Amino acid sequence: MTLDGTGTGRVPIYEGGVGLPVVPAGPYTAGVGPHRLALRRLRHNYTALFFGSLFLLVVVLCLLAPVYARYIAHTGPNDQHITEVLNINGRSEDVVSVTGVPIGPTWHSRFFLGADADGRDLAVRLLYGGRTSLAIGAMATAVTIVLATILGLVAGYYRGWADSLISRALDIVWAYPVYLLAIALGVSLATGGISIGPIQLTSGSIFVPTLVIGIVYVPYVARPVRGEVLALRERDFVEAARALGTSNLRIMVSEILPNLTSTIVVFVALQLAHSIILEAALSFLGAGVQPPAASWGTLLSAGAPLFTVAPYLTLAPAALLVVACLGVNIFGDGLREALDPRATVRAGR
Amino acid sequence: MRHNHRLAFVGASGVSLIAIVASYGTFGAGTSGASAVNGAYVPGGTLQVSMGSPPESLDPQSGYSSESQEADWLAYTPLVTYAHKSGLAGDTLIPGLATALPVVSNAGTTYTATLRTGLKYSNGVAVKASDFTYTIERDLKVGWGGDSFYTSNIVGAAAYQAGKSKTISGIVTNDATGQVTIHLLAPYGAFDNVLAFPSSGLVPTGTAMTALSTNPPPGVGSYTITSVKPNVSFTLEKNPLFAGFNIPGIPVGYVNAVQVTVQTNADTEAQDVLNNTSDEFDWGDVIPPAYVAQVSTQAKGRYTPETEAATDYFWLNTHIAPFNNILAREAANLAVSRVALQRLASGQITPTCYYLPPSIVGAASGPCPLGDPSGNGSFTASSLGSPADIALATNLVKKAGLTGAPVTVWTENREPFEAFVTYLNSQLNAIGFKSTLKVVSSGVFDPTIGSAKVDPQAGWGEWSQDYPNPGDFYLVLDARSIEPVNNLNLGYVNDPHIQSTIIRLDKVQSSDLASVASQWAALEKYVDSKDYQLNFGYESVPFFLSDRVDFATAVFQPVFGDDWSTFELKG
Repeated sequence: MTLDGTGTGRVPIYEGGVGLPVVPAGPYTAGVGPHRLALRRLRHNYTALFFGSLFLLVVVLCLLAPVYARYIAHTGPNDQHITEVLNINGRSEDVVSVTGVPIGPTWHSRFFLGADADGRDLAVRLLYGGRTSLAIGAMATAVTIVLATILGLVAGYYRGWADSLISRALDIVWAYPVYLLAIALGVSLATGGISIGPIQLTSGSIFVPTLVIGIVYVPYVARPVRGEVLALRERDFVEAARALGTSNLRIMVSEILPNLTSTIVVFVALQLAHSIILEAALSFLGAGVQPPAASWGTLLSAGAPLFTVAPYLTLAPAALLVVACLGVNIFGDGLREALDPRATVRAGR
Repeated sequence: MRHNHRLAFVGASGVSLIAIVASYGTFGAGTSGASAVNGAYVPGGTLQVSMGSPPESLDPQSGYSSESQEADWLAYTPLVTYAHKSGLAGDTLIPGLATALPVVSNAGTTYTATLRTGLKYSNGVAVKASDFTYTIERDLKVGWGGDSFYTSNIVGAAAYQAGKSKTISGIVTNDATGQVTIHLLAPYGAFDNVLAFPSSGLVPTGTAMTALSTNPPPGVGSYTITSVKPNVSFTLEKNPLFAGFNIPGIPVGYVNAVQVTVQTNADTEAQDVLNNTSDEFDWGDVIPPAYVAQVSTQAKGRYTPETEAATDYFWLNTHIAPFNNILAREAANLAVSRVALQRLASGQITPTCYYLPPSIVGAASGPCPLGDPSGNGSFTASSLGSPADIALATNLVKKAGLTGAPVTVWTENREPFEAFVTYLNSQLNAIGFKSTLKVVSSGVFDPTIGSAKVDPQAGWGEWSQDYPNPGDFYLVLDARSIEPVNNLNLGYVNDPHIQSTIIRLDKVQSSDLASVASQWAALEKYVDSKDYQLNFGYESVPFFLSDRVDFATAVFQPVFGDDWSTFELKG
């Protein structure tokens, strides 16, 4: 392996030998920081970028929900138009028929994707539902990451009784299948809300499913973090900091935490997809977002009984759910590959 | 009967989706046996019945829901019962185990009946007159849901329930003559209907004073209940002794057995009956919108919507803000389109503004105070001066100074009830309230909203008849029904005019009800003018059977629903 010193040449990973793949030389990596190197790798992972963009597009569309509702659909997410009659290409159609079947996609500004059984504009609810699902996903991920990082850091750094206590507590949570635990917590809290000291959450609050989802995933992140901290705490730079009399808290925050960044960033992306899916599952089962608020899960739940006569009620939220989760998941995979120092170096400019 | 929990289309789950897909694979599969044969209808065979919700208990002195009573009235015949006929004829009382309808004397406070001779329970034990006393005592000890029908009417029943006496002093029986005499505290015109409850169906003296839900006690009826698997299934087997009693007007039953299976997924239920893999769609369920068209076309000749004496309404709590203000109640009434609610029920309710269903004596007719309920919400509102319902309602809320007033509206998590209240919530927000939807699990909905501690502001309610009498419906507007728990009067209505009228009219014998029909109708108009509750629909229920059943002779009984003893299968 040679480096030409200019930083612009290609670096052959393998050379010559029969049976060994010849990989095109990448750019110079000498003197480039790990994050910049990761960014270079990521820039060349077009699949990850494509799916990342797709996810970003869904996010932007959902953020624009109020604009769409106000200026295009002219209705709010909870406004019901059950007895309204629309004129579609010169034909009069009930928004909800006398037998309760809602209108299908009109491909016009109003009821673009049709109406739900309660006479609400599906496209509007889809976008508003997306805001809810994505917000819960993001907040739950934040809860998971923050809690898991703190617990992993403390357990891995201090070891001993702190490690035992935290690890056993995590084991207890881990022992329950994540969906069963989330459903159990969701059902009990979704109806009664949360009232613990200063924390007062009403049953309809989206912070209830947020907390449930955030908490049930903590062990799944905390344990790998702990493992990494156990390794990091033995490294020379930590020993050096300790020798200089740096406090434990400072070592954890200034020395170990920065070295966990790559791991955490990867977990954020992957965890976001998990959280969005779990929110959908909980809301589908009535243990997540409470009506009349929309989320992709509640939309799926409301559409399922009408699948044979109004399949779009199920397919539309399902499609957005798939696109969002696939997008963030594949982008997360790309991020993981890019941040992995053992990954093949194919970083270009 | 409070909140008939059978009106539901449940299928909002992944399971339902899977079931729909899976059920396509069973198209044309028919049940084994009789259905494959296109022969004449003959006695025998097993009727396969789907039940949308499980009965809470099949012990007649414990089960109060319509599911329980549908099965129990065939297995536990009381002194009097209802005719096994469709339509209004089914509201007629006929002698059951008594030789004739009770003789009413002492200004309506004494009821006397005589038992038929030679009666035996399904276990072969002879029936005695004193079993009647024991049966009512058991109702009170086991805790039947409607026990107040006995305690508030029969002399000594309340004392017995409170443990202050060893028997009910107001019931006197003579085993030698078979005579049963019941003394009432005061005249109660519908007491013969109380005697017709399946809970008044006789059980042997000595039967355990606990709910025998999995092993119901012996009774006198065309069928006996066996093989009870709670929340899953039960069977009604033909009682071979019953035919020998020759009780006029009570069929001995055609089928040998009725196999009842709980099927909470209305999609599957509808598909099964369409495919003839089940013989009956539960009349307490609503045919899901996805199947309405299919049922109408594929099941011609074996489906008809039947009118049930039941009304859907929104109760408005009149003792706390904002609905203690009549303007707020009027505004809510104006904001709600009955036609919209009809569509949310797949068209299976008839829009109304009145409470008493048309089949009940005293039902009001004529224009509603707020205009035509079928006018898409655009009431003529002549009495209020504007046809614009939402605008007018908004103004009323403003006028009352209630704009932004918080309201919580309650529903259980079953369709179409949840859709009804979601709509109410949306409309209340549209007219200026700050309304929040509260969805509660079906299993805890009644106790939750019936608790004075919760003191809910508004929500969905339904009353289906316990018996065909306006007084039964007015229990929900009777101040005496206000209780700290299991409250029936959810609107906390305590109006002196209503009270005095109910007390006066409740004394009128069922047979004389027609003579006071106009007085009940006047009360209806009065209640409507006060907007005490927001009535919105008379229910119709599906009478939907498989090809195997003789639809022409099968009876939909207005009090108890599908009358399995009249169902005959193809041979």
